Amino acid sequence: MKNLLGLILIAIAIPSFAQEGWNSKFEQLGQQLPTPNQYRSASGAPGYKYWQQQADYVIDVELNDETHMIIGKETITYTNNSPDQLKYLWLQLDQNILAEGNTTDKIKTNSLGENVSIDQLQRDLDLYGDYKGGYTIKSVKDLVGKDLPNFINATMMRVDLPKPLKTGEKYSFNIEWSYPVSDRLNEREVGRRGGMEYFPADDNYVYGITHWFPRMCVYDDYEGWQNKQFLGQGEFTLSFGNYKVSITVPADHIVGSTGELQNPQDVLSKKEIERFELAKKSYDKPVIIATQDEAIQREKSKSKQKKTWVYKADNVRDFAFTSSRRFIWDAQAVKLGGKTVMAMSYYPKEGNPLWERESTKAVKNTITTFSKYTIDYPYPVAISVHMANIGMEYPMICFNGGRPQPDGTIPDRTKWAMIGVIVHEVGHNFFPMIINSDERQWAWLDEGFDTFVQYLTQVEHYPDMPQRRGPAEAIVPYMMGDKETQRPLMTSAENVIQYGSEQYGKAATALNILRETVMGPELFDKAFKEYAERWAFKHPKPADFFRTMEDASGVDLDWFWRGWFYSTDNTDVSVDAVKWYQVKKDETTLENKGTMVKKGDLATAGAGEGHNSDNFNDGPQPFSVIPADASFYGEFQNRIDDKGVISKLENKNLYEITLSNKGGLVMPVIIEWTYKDGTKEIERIPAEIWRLNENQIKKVFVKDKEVVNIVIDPLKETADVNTDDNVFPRVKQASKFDELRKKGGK
Amino acid sequence: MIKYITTLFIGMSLIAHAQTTPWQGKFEQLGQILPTPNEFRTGSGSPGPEYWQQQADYVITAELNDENQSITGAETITYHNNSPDVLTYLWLQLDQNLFDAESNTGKTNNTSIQDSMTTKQIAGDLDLYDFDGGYKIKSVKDVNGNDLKHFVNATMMRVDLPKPLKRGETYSFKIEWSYNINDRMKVGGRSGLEYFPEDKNYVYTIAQWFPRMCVYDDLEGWQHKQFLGRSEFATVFGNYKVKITTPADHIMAATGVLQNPKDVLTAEQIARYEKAKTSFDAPVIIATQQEAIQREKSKSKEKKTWEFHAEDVRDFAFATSRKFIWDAQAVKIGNNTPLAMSFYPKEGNPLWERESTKAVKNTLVTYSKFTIDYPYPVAISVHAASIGMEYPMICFNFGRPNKDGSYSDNTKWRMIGVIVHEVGHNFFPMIINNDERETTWMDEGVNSFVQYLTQVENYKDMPARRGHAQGIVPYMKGDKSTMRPLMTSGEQVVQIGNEQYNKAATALNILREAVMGPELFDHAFKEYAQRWAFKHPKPSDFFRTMEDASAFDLDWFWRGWFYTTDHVDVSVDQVRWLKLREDNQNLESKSKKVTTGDLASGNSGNASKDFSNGPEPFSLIETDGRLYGEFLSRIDDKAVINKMKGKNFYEVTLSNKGGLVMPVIIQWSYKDGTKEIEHLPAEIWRTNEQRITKVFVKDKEVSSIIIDPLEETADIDTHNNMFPKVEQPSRFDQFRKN
Repeated sequence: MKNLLGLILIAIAIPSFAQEGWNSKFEQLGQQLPTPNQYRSASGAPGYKYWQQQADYVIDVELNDETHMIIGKETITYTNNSPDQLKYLWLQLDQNILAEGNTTDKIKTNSLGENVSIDQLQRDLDLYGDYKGGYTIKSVKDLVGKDLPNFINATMMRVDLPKPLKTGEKYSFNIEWSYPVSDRLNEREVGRRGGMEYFPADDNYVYGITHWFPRMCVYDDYEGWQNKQFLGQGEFTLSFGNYKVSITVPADHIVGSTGELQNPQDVLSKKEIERFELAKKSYDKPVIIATQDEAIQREKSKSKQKKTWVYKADNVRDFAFTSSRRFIWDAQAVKLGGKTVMAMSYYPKEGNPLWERESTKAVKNTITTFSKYTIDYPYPVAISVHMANIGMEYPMICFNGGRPQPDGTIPDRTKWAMIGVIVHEVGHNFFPMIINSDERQWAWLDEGFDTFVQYLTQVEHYPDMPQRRGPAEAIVPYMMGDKETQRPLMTSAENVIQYGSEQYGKAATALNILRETVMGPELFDKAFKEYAERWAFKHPKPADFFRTMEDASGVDLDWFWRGWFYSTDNTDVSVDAVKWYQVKKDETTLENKGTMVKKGDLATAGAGEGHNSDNFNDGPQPFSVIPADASFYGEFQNRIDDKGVISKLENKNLYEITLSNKGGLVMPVIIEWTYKDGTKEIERIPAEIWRLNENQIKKVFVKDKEVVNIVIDPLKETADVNTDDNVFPRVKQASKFDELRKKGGK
Repeated sequence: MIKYITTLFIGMSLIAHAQTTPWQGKFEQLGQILPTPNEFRTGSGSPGPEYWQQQADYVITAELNDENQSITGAETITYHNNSPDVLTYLWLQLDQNLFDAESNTGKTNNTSIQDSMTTKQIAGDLDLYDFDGGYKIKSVKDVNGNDLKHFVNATMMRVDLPKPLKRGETYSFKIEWSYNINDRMKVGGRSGLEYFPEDKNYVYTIAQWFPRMCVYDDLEGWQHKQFLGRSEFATVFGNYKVKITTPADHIMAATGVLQNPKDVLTAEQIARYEKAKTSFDAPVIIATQQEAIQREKSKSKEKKTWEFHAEDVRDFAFATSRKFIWDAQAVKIGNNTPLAMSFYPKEGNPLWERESTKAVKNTLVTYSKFTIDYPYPVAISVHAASIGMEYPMICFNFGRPNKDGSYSDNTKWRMIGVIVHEVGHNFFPMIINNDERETTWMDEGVNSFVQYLTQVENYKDMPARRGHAQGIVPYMKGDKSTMRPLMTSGEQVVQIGNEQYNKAATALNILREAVMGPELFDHAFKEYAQRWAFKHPKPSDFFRTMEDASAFDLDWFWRGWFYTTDHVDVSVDQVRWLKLREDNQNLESKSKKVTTGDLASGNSGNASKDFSNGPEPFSLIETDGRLYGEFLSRIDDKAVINKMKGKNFYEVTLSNKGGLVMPVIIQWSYKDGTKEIEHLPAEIWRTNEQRITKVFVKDKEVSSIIIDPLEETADIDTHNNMFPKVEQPSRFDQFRKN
């Protein structure tokens, strides 16, 4: 019994905390953020001793279209820029998430319903027949061919160094490996970020080859090695480096890849080269480099010959490529700052006519708008590849869904979803590919930011597009939902349940509200751009973002981070009462300074207690303004002009508004006054109005005109979860029965 | 129904919390509650090897226009980037924008309407004065006259640098501005003007009057939290050269040393001024009341320019008026001989000529003893109505006699109190330069504490308002809903005076007197002052230094007094009086043991309210061989028993009802009328924070026990501190007695 009671109390102690008086909502985050030091400054900028590691790769890889195997060898050159000595290195073996006995399947929880779809059961119980995924590591050797001791812990591999690697030293070593490419249709959810899609009609594949080589983990000043296992949801944490990659594929494949093609003459036809050169000067619209007709020809050719495509990419955090017989390829030039960037798309004919119309245009729109809000897109190409049911990002290249009906018709929903995903995934070039956050730990630092700038991009270029994530109102259904499965944004990616609603939707909305309602675009945009400039090609942490936004704007936002990023509170402001007053027109008080209005005088005057405070029908309540006696002046010998003050209030309407904070989030108060003459006025009050009382506030407003109606948050900017109580006088809500009857009547 | 259950549980959860989770880590180290030490700030609480701070030097030319009560100024700021960071923009404070019509202070203040309101109250609440306040920034230019890009966000202004400012580099730029001076009687303010209707003159106390650099530091970056009116200032050290033009018949007081007395003072005044510099006993009047009355009438249209220089100060303020009387005397402090000075209108006399400069002197002397020798050349107290406000070397203080020149004791003590307090602020925060915007208690609380010491030392008859433990009890026993821990940012504090001043000062005083003792405390406190003089300390630097210099683990004290709103309430739950049974049987017959409950059954009624039932008997038995473990040697059982024979054993059980763990101070009153006080350190609570039992051996019989007999711990309920309990007279009884 005692135990039971204890349990109950624990469960309720949490909500009850929110109801107690004071919750430090305006206190500085203080030690919730790491203490600034020489690596990360208090301003949110990289510190004077900031460092980051570098990993350069030279890779030879073959994609075998018969066996669907990737066979590769790489030389990694690791530069230790840290002040620390390293005795071992950690690498990521992401493909091992598909290996037998992987942790992800083991820790997955599931149950059976009465009817279970085959697909569901297959995924739940891992019934994928013969596919055995995961890396086969053939060798790990130093440059003279000596084996290096290594140890594989699931998706991570430790390589022990023959001697400690000191500050400023480099170490190169070789790895040989292979793995079977997974079929994205039949594969586990977690494997669907990369793999192959099979097209039965012509018996061909589209390959999206990602996390396909042993990659260095990040070692940084804050986490040490980021070697948290890859479980599928928390994405990737990668160092910058330079890549030279030779990709061998069937000769009739077209390859799209991170980086710039080094040997077009070896892999492209003359015609294709000519068209490619043409595209480099085509700023208006894409040029088709590989046409649909040519793609259909290649579908049939099934060449047994091979070709090797050589790519180079500098200062990227990863490398991915795509390859298929089936690709159509278009490209156009985009002018950004002083540079020209190639926006390109690769897609099978199943993507048309949608893809030839919209994909490359969306790439161009994205890098243009993102560059405005962050930094000029620094890479030479930006590619969108069409694959079924996916949206997945890599440096310079991403894979996107959005397929017309088999007859080529395109529902609006398909088009908007396709454009949305392209903007989002191309946008990821900025977050996290350039502003290189730790995705394994923090999803919102890339997903939320990217979704936010995606929203700005879509608003700018696609005014007719329905905006799913960004507007305050759109997050309300989530915010008013069950808190049991809600997690604060500052929750590690793997532990989040409502991943999309929170790390994408809520984070993007929070930033949008911050921009539009809290800071205003001018202050916000400058600070946000400052963050992007400071952390481009570096590794920011949440604190660096929080601090930079304040540093550059002069706005104390700790209350905002506390509420939106560290709690699951929502906005729910309620107008508890509005009282309408006018100064009592009674000259006696002023002339005869001795008499004062007694307490309770108002009540007996017929107003006060009995006054109807649900609406304005009873008219204003009178109150008295009396001259201040000497005690109010302290030592001052001068006096204010009592008559002047009183005359200023004469015939004015004073409204005393009582607001309560039911949702927990403190937010600016936006009041719309509707006057009797039909005019309206909107007043904006900073969130700090709640700083002394986080639960209930009172404030008096003086108006010349009579007010008929007051609405809090009239433009729905704050994601208030219940707007019924934002209105005075209250509008009677139709009951569900009434609504039902109304519908039936129609 | 659902609501009912919830509220029920809230009530219960608090109680349950206290009862079922008895351990709250009250003695644990603060750990990650404090920032991690690094090369900027060490784990000892001192500045680290790479400690740095910025510097801002100002050359200012300004004119005060007495006709329209405005200031017009131009300044060249030279900013030194000593930080290791590259700065692409600078932030400045535009404090005057507090009075801007669109000020966030007005927008965010909470107001309501009562049945009847005074004109003054409602005019203040609703800002009905039509005062055109706030800075008008005319230009922000580089030294070559090119405009600099800048952005004003309420009380803060960002200036974008033409190129990044690197470590060790300096950058100079110019700002021109003006603003209308606020009437403090109407719109309030820490500075402003006071109008004297009788002679139609003003006393100006001018501060936050020029765009000032924000602090950029290692822990906060830019401290540019908006100025809302309450939380004060964070400013950097620098050197000032300031020229201020006023009507020719004004007398001016300012931060720093007057550079051109010949231009602004009469030969007579200069002679008196020189005399004051060697007058260590009593002030010399430099500008007399008679002269002031003459000047009140002269209303000169001529102008004079006063030039002041100040080095190593974090701000600059001044006061000017036709009405000023001015006195000064020299004070000997170590090798320094600063001038203690006062400026006041005749309305301050005779109180001011008697007490002000003396109070300045007393403050400098006592503070210097507890911190560092006062390093500045002057310390000034200016009289302005209804205010106490501090700036480097100068402060503005209330304390005005009645019109006929009479004044009550209360007026005098309050005037002396405010002068000691505001002059004391020279040390905290002007020299030991904490971030006032964020942490109020580090200057207000620490200053109120040394103010208390100063008053106790120099004004024996003065009722001490803030400092002694008993004085904080009414607050500590109050409603917790409006209480905030001391470690709360000033803007969010409701009871600012009770907490950031009073509770903090009292905590330090209790720490000094009841926890550490003056010798250890004073050494550590002085160490803190020395380490952080002319630097920027943070709370953790104070906490760490106090421990570092004293070998006193005080994390429990900081936890309780600075991070919670707990209070002290120790209760004597039970006292048992026992005596050794006069029976040697046990010792002879080794196997026989006293069975449990024997004592109880022997004298069961003894867990009683007083000592009237006499002592309970208890037996000592020989130590069993097993209890020695591997030891072969044995203790002398008989000797132990002999030693205890006839002694009185008192088993005292105390419970902690208030939450704060504190030293236990017990006063024993013996039957023979003598008393004894025992001090037990707070760590007595370390394994059980709620309830402790301890046995004391006394030769004499005890007649009563009192916990905290001298009321040193701010125990909010002393009724339960006694054994036997003293019946409290009811209110009726008290009433009847009166």
